[in-house]
Amino acid sequence: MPYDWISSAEIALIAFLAGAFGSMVGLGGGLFLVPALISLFSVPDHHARFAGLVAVCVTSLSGSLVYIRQNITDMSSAAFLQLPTAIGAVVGTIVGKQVDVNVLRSLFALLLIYTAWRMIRKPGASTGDGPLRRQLATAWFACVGGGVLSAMLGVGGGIVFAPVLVLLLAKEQRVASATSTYLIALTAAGSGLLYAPDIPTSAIPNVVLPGAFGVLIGAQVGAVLSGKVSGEGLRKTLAVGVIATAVSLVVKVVSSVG
Amino acid sequence: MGLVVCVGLALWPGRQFDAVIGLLVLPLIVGSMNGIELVCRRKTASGLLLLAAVATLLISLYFGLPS
Repeated sequence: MPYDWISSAEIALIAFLAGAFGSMVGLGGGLFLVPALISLFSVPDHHARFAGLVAVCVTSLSGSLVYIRQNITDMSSAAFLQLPTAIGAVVGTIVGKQVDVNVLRSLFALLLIYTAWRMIRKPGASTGDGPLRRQLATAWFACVGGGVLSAMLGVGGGIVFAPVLVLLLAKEQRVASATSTYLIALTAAGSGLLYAPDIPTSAIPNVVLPGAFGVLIGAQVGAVLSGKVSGEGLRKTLAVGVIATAVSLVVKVVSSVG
Repeated sequence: MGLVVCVGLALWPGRQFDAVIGLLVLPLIVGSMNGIELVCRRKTASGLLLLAAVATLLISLYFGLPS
């Protein structure tokens, strides 16, 4: 696509909104940014994925530095789960480069519908039990899946990591969010670096940087606003938006196949 | 500090690709430092897993991936 400064400004605005809404409902901005870039701006899928990974990396890096300083991040769990997410990121990047773009868009649509369902239903509670050997193994393999998902679709993978930490490793929601943020930074960075050689330099100032800084600033604003807005209503409204994005991706897949 | 340098580079025309690569390399540096801290200071083996994760990414970057 021909890039210009007007589309860059629009991308920065959409990325800001993606970061703000993502942060308000406890999700990364990548989940909203990537489909928005594909659907609204017709950005090629691999450029959009790279932009999503850079945005997620910057946001989670700045967040995790704060969490580590506040001593909220559970570094032992993070260290235990970082290896499977890294393996998943490498596998996901290889698969993401080979798989047809329509398959990836369909997967993204499914992920968005799942996200919308999670936003509408009430959050799951911790099992409260200590991590058993089997739970640790399940957590390990789930994180490989999270890494694959992150690299293939250009999202953070927090939608997998945070529930794994809460439901399988019995961590508090706050600790799980902080630890998941830490995991996301390295996973997104690894897959981003693996995608980087295929990205033209023209995409950097026009898509990647406006996307990254839009999401980063939006996430800070969203974090401030999250305490002032009704969570339940916001979740349901955003779920409708997420389903609409999923439908727009499905329409793109159907029209390109037909 | 690294984040500030990369943001500064991002505003410098012609250096924007370097800024993005710098932003993506930062978590690898942070992860390595945390891994070393866990192994050396806290004497926990989990630091080795963190270092193994960084090594996995570095090895795959070194050998490259099919495109």
